[in-house]
Amino acid sequence: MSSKTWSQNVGCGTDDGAEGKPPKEMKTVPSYRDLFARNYGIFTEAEQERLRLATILIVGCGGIGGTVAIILARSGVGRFVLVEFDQYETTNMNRQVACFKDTLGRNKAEVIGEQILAINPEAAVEIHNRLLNHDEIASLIPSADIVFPAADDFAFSILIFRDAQRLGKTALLVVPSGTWANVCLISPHGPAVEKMEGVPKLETYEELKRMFQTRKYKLGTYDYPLRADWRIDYYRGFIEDGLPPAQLCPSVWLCSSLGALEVVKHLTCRWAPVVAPRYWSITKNRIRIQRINGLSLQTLLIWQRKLVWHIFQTRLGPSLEFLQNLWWQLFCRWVKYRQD
Amino acid sequence: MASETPLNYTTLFQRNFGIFTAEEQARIRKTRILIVGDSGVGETLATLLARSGCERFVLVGQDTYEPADMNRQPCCFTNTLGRRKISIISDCLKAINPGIEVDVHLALPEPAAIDGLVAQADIVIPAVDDLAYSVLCFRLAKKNGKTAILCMPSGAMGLVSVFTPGSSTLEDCLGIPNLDYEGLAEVIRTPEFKCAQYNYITDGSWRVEWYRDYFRGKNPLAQICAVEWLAASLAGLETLKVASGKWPFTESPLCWSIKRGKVSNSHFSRFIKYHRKLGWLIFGHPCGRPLHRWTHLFWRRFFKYLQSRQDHSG
Repeated sequence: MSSKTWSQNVGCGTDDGAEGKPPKEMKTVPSYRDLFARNYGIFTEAEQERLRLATILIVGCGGIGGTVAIILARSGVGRFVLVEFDQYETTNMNRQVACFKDTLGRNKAEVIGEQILAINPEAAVEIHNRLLNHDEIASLIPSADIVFPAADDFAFSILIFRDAQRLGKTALLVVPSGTWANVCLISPHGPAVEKMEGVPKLETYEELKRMFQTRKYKLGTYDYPLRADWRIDYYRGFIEDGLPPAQLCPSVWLCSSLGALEVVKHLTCRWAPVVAPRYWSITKNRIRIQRINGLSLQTLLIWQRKLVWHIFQTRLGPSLEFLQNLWWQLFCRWVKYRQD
Repeated sequence: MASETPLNYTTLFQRNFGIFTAEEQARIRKTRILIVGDSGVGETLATLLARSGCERFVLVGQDTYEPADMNRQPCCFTNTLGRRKISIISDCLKAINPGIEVDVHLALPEPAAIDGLVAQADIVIPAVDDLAYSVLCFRLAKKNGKTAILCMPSGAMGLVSVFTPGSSTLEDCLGIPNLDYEGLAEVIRTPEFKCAQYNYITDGSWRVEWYRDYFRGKNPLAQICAVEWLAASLAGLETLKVASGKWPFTESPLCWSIKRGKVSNSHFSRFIKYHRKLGWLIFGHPCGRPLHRWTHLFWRRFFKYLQSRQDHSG
């Protein structure tokens, strides 16, 4: 067993056969019905057929994108369009479902695609292993039933959400950070994703990207050390030195499985999905459905992010920035004291 | 590619250190986790905990991969079909973190022998399909002063909770009669006990036809991937809470409950508990046996009602 690599085990490498005597089942590939037999305890033939015929477009096959893809493949979804330019790195190991010692350095979409085919050989997988621009992605949207923008770059995802809404497609929103996460479906007729996360209205990708990188906007994520359990030292590094977001496997898989479940609900029509303005609010101690502008910390944050950004654009900006820095120093000290 | 750069623990779990201190992560690293059984939950939890930085595993299981496992088990692929689950999982864990030690037991030990394994572990996760065996594991964990984690998905429902030596027992939370392993194994097989699992239909969204065949022993448990992974992730989170000692965990009789695809923080259902307890009190006694005939009449009506409700909504 040890002479074989893990990726060969899961069908990403050369053929089996050297290993002992291959059992009978391996020769004949089981049918769709056999593979997903247990699903029929819940879904009717018609519902399962809807899953089989559905197409999912996933942009970004990292922590959430990859996990949702695998869960949906194991639920019996038949068609996938995967977009990802990035390769597996060592630091992906702590949460990404297809990151193994011997898939390090390989393109994520290709590895996930191989796994999907090793789960369901009848599945149709289309892989784009380079960075696509928004027009190219928009051309993929019409053939999909669900669009899942899961890029690390949230500005990039926002434009895909807009395209999906414009083209009349339902999209899945999953935002994890530390032990906190938000999950919901964004319908073509419901509120836009900017309303969910409190992103000021900016037109172009460049403007959005620039805004997300400014320190004054990033400080609007001060809930990370409070709700998402980031350590304050790490959060300082995130704000000041550009450290990557802190992530934990159970939380990432938790919001991914909830996201995948919402997609299954939407596709099968078996249960009512949670669609914006309603959303799942996940913390380590509590999971519940909330509503945009309902009474919650999220609402406060959303309005604060939106309003403060606009005030920053006026002549008051520079003096406000001074106050914000002062507040930041005090905040760090207070949280540090609390965490110690 | 892999052999060029040695995988060191700090780089692998760099993102974890944004949440856990070095000390807490070290505690997670050396926690010894016993997973009994090779059902989907056990397997998903094993990979999830390996990716969270746990390094010491004891895995017990005897099954091989079958096509029907494909719909939820993370290491089941067309070319692992027919192979031993536990050895595949142990390879998978080592491919995540080469520093992982896995102690593999390729057969479910006799009820008497599992005690030794429980005594050596820090956290026990019973993930056997056989409820009687799971109950046994929970009892042994309590006896040995260990924490055990319940993760029980079924269709669109699921229950996740932590049982410490001081908290209420699984039997008490689920209303399971207080019998020894053999007695319990027998009771669980009886149709009367299975009737009391009607919440598989009401909460778990099982189709009535499937339940009927399950009831007759012709069908296995219905499972769907998204709910099972959801339950496993919740159990993984609870395991990390216990292992790191950083946060208070969801201790029984509190639990995470998934019903018809919705998650909430909840309490084990008191209705089902007392229903089962009362049922056992009346029908479990030898004098109660003749009464079974009458209850069958009730169940028949009840399942007919559930069937008509399903047909109506469908």
